[in-house]
Amino acid sequence: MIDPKLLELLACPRCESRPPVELNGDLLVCTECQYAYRIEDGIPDMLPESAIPPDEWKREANSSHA
Amino acid sequence: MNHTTAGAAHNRPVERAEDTWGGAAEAYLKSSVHGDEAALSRIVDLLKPSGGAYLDVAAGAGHCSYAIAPFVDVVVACDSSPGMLRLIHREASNLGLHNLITTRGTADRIPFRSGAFDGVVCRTAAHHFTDVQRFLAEAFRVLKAGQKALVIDNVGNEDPDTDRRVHELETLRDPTHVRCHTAKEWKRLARRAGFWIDFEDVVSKPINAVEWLNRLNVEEPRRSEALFMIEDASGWFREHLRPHGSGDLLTFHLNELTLLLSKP
Repeated sequence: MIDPKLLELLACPRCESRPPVELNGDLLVCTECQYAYRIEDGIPDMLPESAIPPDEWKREANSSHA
Repeated sequence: MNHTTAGAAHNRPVERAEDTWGGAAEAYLKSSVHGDEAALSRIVDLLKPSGGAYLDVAAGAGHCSYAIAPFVDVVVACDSSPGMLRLIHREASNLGLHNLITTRGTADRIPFRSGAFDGVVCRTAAHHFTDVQRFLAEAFRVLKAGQKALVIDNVGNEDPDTDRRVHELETLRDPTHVRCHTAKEWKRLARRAGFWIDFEDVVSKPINAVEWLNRLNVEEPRRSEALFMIEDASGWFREHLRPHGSGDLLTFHLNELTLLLSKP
């Protein structure tokens, strides 16, 4: 799904401290602000405006597991 | 290419950039200017990539990434245009460059950790950036100490009227064009970001006017206006463009700055 070397380099563009992101299902989730980024065709979409708010992606994740 | 803009407050430039660049990806891949072997060899000679991780900011059709990949552990091509990134993904696979990976991101909020990279390159893209100072600060941040960033971009003219005319011509061709800073401005901004300047030069690049307009599929009346501006240039603006020939053979010149920067 995502190259492990890339995962080691990626950081959240919304947060000034550029904290790492973690793989959570199909999403990359910021370890600080908890906003999530999609991976489209193997390419992470790390535009700040593409970030999904935590309540939104967690709600979607919960409903898909229900 | 970059094609790169700021965050949520600058949504529209990213979308406008995708309109312009997503459709132009194949033309840029085949561009003789962007794919010029001598120019790409010079980039490798200046950066001297040797292992480690490299970042290509506003990678466009990926030419710098393809040139650097054979010498490094990993090169990341970062651009805001999904069309360009899909093309790089495909070309990297075709070329067997399995260490070339892609990420959608912007130059003023580079989505990578601080001190993550052994080298950064940004070629013929920064004139699309809304905030060059912020890009330079971000390039400085993602570099490891002691490592280098190579910036190559078209530059403006120190004469304000000529500079304005160059800007008008570039914008006629490309609505996503923001500004070609002068060499003097670039050096001031780079030093303010914390960089040392290791090397600089400005060369005059000959450009075929029709190919230049075709690459972005420029339509009338902007196409004719741009050609007229080149052919009819006068004074210092003519000195800057140095137009020659006519029709399909009309050529002119743009000045390109190469700036090799190091992070102390």
